[in-house]
Amino acid sequence: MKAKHYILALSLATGAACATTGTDPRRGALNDAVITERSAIPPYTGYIRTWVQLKVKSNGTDLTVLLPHFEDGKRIPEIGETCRIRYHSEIIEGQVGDESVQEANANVVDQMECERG
Amino acid sequence: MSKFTYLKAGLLSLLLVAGSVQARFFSTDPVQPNPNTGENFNRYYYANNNPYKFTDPDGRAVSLAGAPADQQKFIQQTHQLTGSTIAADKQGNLSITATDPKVGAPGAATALANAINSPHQISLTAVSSDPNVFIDSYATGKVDVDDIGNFAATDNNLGAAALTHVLTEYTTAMQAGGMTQANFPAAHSAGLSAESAVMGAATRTSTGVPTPGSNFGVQYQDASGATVKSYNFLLDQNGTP
Repeated sequence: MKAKHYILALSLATGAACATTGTDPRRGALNDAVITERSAIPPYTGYIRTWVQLKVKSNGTDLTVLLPHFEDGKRIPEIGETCRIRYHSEIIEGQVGDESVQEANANVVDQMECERG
Repeated sequence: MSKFTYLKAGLLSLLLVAGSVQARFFSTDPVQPNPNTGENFNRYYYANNNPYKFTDPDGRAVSLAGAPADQQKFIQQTHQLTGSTIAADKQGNLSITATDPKVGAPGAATALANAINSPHQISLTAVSSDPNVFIDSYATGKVDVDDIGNFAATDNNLGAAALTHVLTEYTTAMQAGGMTQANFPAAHSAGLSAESAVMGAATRTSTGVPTPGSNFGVQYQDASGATVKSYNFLLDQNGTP
C-alpha cells in the first residue's frame, strides 16, 4: 500500500508542478540536470535562513538553484548526480553555503529528485 | 543506487486535497528498517512521515529535552533573559512560576508566556556548541544555549531578542498548523518582528556567516532603515559567538 501511494503521490506532485510551471514565469523545471558544483553546507535554517547552493547543467545550460537546508540527518545531493528539479524564483536573505546574501533573487527548489549514476 | 528526493511541504498539502492520498516525504531514509517492529520499513519517507516532530498529545505545553546540563542552562538563561522563572515537570513540560519585571526584556517575557500558554505543544531540545545549529534549528526545535548565552554576554537584550525570535517563530508556526516548511516564512517574519521589537528596532539583518571560525554580524534597523544597533562576533571552532 505504501509503495502504491508513493508512486501515485509522486505522479500527482510532478503533474501539479509541471502545470504550474507552464503558467507561472517565476517557476521552472529541469529534467536530467547534472550537479556540477555544490556549496559548503551551512547550519540549519532557524534564526537565519540557510540554503545549499547547487550548480547544475541541463541540455547545455547552466543554472544555479538553492536547496533549503531544513532537514536534520539527511544526505544532500552530490556532484555528478542527475536530478529532476522544480523551482521558483524568490528574493532571499540569509546564508547560501558559506556566504551571506542580502536581498538577492534566487531559484529556490520546490521539488528535487536525484539519483547517483 | 541511492536516491534523493526533496519535496516542499506545500506540494504535499496539495496532494492531500487533490489526490486524497496520504502525504509522505519522498526522500530515501538513511535509517534502515527495524526488523522487529517494521518501523521505518518504507525507505521513501522521512522521519516516519513526521519530519518536524512537534505533536500535540495533550496541548498547552512547551516541553524541554536535551542533556540535563543544557536544560538547566536553558532554564537559568530564560530567567535572565525574560525575568520569568520556569520549572519543568517529570515529562519536561515547562510552566512559569513567577515573573520579575525588573529582570530581562519585557518582550521576551511575553514571547515565553505566549509559547507556554499556546494551545499547542512546542518541543524544544537544549543543545550546546552545536556547529550545525546557530541559535536554533527550526526543523528539530534545537536551541543552542551557548549561542544565546554568548549573545547575552555581549548584551542581555540581544540574547533576549534571539530567544524571543525562536519562541515566537515556533508559536506562530504551530498556530498555523505545525512546524512545516510551508509555515516557516511567515513564522520567521513574526520571529524577526518580535525580536526586533525587543531591540527597539523594526527589523534585523546579518552579515558574514555563522560557521566555525567566521565573522558574523547582527544589525538592527529602525523603520527608516537606519542602523540603531550593531554587533560583531568572531565564532569559535564550534560556531559559537
